[in-house]
Amino acid sequence: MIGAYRRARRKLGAIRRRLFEPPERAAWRRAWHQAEVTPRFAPGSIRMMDYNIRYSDLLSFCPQWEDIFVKRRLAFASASAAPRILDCGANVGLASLFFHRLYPQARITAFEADPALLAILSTNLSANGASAVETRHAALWTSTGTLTFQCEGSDSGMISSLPGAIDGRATTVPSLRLRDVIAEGPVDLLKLDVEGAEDAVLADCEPVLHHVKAIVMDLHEFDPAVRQAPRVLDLLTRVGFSYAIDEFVPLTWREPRSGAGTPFPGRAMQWAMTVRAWR
Amino acid sequence: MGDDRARMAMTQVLRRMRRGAGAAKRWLVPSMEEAAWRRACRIAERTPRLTPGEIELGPYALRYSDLLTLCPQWHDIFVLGSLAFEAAGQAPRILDCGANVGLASLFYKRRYPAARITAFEADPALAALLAHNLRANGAADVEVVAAAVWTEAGEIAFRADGADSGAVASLGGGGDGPAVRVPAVRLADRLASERIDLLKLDIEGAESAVLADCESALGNVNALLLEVHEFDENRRRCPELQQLLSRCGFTYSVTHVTPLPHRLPQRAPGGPFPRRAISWVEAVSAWRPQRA
Repeated sequence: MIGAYRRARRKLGAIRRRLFEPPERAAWRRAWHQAEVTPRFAPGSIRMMDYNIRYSDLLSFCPQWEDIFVKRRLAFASASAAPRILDCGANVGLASLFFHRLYPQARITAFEADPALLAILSTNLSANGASAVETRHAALWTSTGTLTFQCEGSDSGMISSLPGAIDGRATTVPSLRLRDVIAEGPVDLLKLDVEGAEDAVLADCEPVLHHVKAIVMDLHEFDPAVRQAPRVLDLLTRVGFSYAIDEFVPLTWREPRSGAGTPFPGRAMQWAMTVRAWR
Repeated sequence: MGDDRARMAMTQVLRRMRRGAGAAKRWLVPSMEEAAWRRACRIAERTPRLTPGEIELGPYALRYSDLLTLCPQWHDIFVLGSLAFEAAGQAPRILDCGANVGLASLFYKRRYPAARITAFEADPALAALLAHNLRANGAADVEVVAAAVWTEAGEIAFRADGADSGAVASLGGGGDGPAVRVPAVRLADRLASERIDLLKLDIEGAESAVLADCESALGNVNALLLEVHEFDENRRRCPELQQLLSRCGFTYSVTHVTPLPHRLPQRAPGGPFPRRAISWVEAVSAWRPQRA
């Protein structure tokens, strides 16, 4: 009896969520349907709620939208109405748009290394009422200058010299030392999605990390021989952060996986997780 | 372009139909493990929590202390195969640390009937169920040790919760009840004397202390399935554990992270990330890299 009642209530809940779904979710489902009939890496634009958004690859755009707008993965509470936010690895600008929606007076700087994505990012921000967001063309790194960047066209472009670099168009792009950016003043939120450069960049930033109040980071493990997560997490503890790991994504589609002769064949050897750090 | 679109749409419709047909088939003709799990969940919904009983799950008749924690255990181990392990021989030596009511040992026994397994369980009530379940299901040759896996042999205060979260009392966690004294074994002693094909370690927060104590003996271990319990925001364990695995020559893969937003203590109010979990469990598999 209790079981039947519980099942009925769950079913009703599911129906209700489907009938009265939040606009973020409805837009996301519509985008998925469109992505299924859109070739990969074909740029275009799409209406998402009150946004008009250009993308470079619809299939990688959809999970980004889901993470940021449906699951609100980057939601954060700030005492100030005008928090200072660094959006490192801004891609086509969803994170900056989300922050801008959350805190219309936020002082945001968005960094993107891939020149094609940077153009889309700037368009998206100015077309959607977020022209106050400053955009900068740079790969965040341990020095300012130039470096070679693998442009992948969607969300996996990365610095060529790092382990796990994907095939892509090698492009010379400006690099920027994140340490200098942080040293300019207090940062309320550092959003870091720099595809494998986390350890190098954060280690370089250690002396200035006391300026940072909170971090949301995608922490990637690309190299089975040299794991970086223990070092990054130890650094967070050392500079006085508490942290928690939330979402975890095994990158099972990336080769190599663990071999047939191992006790656990087919395990992903590369993965990414979301780390939140706070004081 | 228009042709392309039409073709993609067609492929898409086919793909969706195939997916739907697959799901329908799995629903109508579930595997034995899946069918057993569904049935157990239905029974669990009308069974009060923490009530001991007995249930038939597939080929097994199992006694349990809490059906609602047995269901996800069955699902993880028998439906998803979370503990699956490819042994080099037919009689692998396996240590099942934190054996609960015995599902993992039964799983290994089914795959490798000749496996030589020792199962450790600290909670005295669970250890009795464990011994009974193994005996009643054709796995009487699994050695049952009613003791906590720890850094020294002797006795230790243990806080049972009657289900799957009992823990060494000095580590915090466990149930609300009083701690009981239970026997303890030093895992390092066990590892020092023989080669272990698989060390399965799910000991609710004691893993970092125990593995650090075992460092010099870990050379005898060929593979590890480890649950890392991150319950204390002031004392994280994953970095040191992963560094220990690398130092001891293992390759590892994180296979799963389960955030525990409802576990106490919860995040203090204020702060930038309200309502986000501060506790989680991380499943790690470790093995010896293959020589090229």
